[in-house]
Amino acid sequence: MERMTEEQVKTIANMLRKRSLWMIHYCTGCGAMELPPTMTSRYDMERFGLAPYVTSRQADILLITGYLNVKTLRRVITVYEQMLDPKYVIGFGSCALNGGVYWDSYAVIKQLDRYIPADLYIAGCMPRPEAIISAFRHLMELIDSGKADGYKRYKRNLAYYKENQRKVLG
Amino acid sequence: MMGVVDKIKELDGAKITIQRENRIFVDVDKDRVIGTLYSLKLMGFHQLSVQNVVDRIKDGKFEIFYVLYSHEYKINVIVRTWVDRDNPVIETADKIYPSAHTWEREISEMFGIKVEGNEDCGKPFILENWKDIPPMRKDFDSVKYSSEHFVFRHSEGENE
Amino acid sequence: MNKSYELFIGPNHPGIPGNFSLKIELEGDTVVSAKGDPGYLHRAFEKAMEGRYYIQNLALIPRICVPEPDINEAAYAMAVEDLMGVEIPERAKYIRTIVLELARVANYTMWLGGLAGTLGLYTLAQWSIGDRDYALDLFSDICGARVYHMYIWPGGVRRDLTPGWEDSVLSYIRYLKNRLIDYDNIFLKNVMFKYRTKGIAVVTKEQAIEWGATGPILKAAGVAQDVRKDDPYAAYEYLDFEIPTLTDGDSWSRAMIRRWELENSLNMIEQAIKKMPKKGPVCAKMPNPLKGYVPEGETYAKVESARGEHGFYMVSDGTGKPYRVAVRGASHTHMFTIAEKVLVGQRLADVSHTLVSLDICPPEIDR
Repeated sequence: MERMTEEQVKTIANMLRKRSLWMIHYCTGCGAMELPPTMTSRYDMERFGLAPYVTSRQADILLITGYLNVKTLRRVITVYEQMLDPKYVIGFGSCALNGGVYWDSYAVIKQLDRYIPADLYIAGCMPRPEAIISAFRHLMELIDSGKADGYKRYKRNLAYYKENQRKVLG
Repeated sequence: MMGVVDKIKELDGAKITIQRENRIFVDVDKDRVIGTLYSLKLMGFHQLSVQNVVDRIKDGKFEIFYVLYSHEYKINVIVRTWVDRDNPVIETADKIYPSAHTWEREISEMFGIKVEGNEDCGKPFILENWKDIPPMRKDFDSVKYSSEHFVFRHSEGENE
Repeated sequence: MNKSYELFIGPNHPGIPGNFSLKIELEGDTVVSAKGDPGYLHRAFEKAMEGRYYIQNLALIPRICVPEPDINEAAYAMAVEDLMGVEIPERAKYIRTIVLELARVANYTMWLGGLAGTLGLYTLAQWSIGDRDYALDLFSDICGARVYHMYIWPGGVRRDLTPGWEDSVLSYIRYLKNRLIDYDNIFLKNVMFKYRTKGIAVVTKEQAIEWGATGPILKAAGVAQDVRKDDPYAAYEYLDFEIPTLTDGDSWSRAMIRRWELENSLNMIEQAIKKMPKKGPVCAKMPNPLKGYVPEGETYAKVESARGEHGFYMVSDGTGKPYRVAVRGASHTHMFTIAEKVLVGQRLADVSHTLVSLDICPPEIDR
């Protein structure tokens, strides 16, 4: 049998990866309210191979559920950096996207992807479970096609992200 | 029912406003507030619902209010007092109402009011690494602060 | 050789009901001291509300307490109505009652799932959170949103009920009442549940009064206090209900009180639907919301949330925006005055379920 090329290995790895995604259980904001219905019997995200997980070191997905307070941002960055590659970030709700209703608040950051790379955003406040599941499906497609490369971007542009983080966290 | 209202009316140096049958405002001097709270607690006002501050910037004062409630009489008493904005110092009420301890931590952080006798005041509570003036004061401009510290997302077609 | 060590619980931990951190000092696995560290959900609501018109604030206030947003809307609306001296129509009162009680049902079913989850029984969490979803469907029938409804507003409610909504509510109540029997059988009558919660996290009557507890904690300690009874708002004065009380004040009693209240709420919705006027306006005539229409003054409006007394202290200076709004969340007192004291002496395994049992809601603390 011929040896597989690196490209082929990657394709197979991505195909398998997308089928077992573990999501770290970190409720950073109020969007976390729609996660229990998504996890439990009615919407049941486990049928897509998604499950909540407790520690950051074994998780694949970091969900930023809603607004991010500056104090939480510090913890989120720690959690993100603890997670092992490959890792994916989903910005959840309009607050992660552009500040949402907290556009004038002194405590809430306005753009998630200035501080950690987001692979995907879900619009709305708050997104319904259907939207969350559709986002997960979309993330799977991105992983399959190799487009979910947020963790690579973070490494490549570390100086940019660190600079932005420093500016906010002081 | 009338008994307790009469008793409240007899409080020393207090200005009483009966807004409703079950809501009474008691305005006192800064020095008398702890004594007033203590007498009210002895009357049966056991619950401190909320203690917070209104920034009366035009008068140069901070208005501190304590919303009290009595399980017995079903009356809300709101004790108000005023301190100078330039040198805001109040005395702690946590010996009388234990829940005042945390409310005082919050107001000392959000308004920069010094609370004498409360050793936790001045430590960071809700905010972290805060370097500006206390944020709940009226002269703190939240919009200005957030546009200086955060970068807003501009949608396509919008003039930057 | 007794050496204590520190442990951080949270901000990311499944046992904590939200984004909240707790620093505990342990000796062996017994808690020596506990300190809460809030602020992870601080969004500066009170500041933001000062910069917006009364009508714009409607979009903000439900977000103060996430599991049960409607109490904020009701308290805010009541504060504005009180300042303006507006009396809301009869039908609006009943609709408010139904919506508020339905929100309480949604909260308690969620809470029940949380408690069962922290005790290790995930089956009930699957059931009850799934059942809560049908209540959210009812909300989305009347206002289009599952979680944040913005349905109750100053003057009444935003729009009339959709035709046939009452029937769907009644059929949901019938369904949930049957399900409650299942919940009891699997969880609340379970021996393990009793072993894990009896005598845990006791708040005695004297302590509850001294520390300023409200809601289920106070009821479980034996004081029958409820804003719905003492200072009736909406249509509660027309309804017939009792305030449940128990005397032990432990984690088990609080769970039982909430279970009781859940059934009470279902009965109250049934009564309210029966007594509600079938026709009529649902909103009083209000002036232009963008002009300064709230007269000068200050007021304190309170409602009974699932956790206790929830209040809004509102100061108006006669302009279009509120001068100051201070929010009183029940969890503020429950966390820092009660939980920090009650946790001392507990085993580590009981910490997370004690927090759920006291129903700590972090967004309410941080605001």
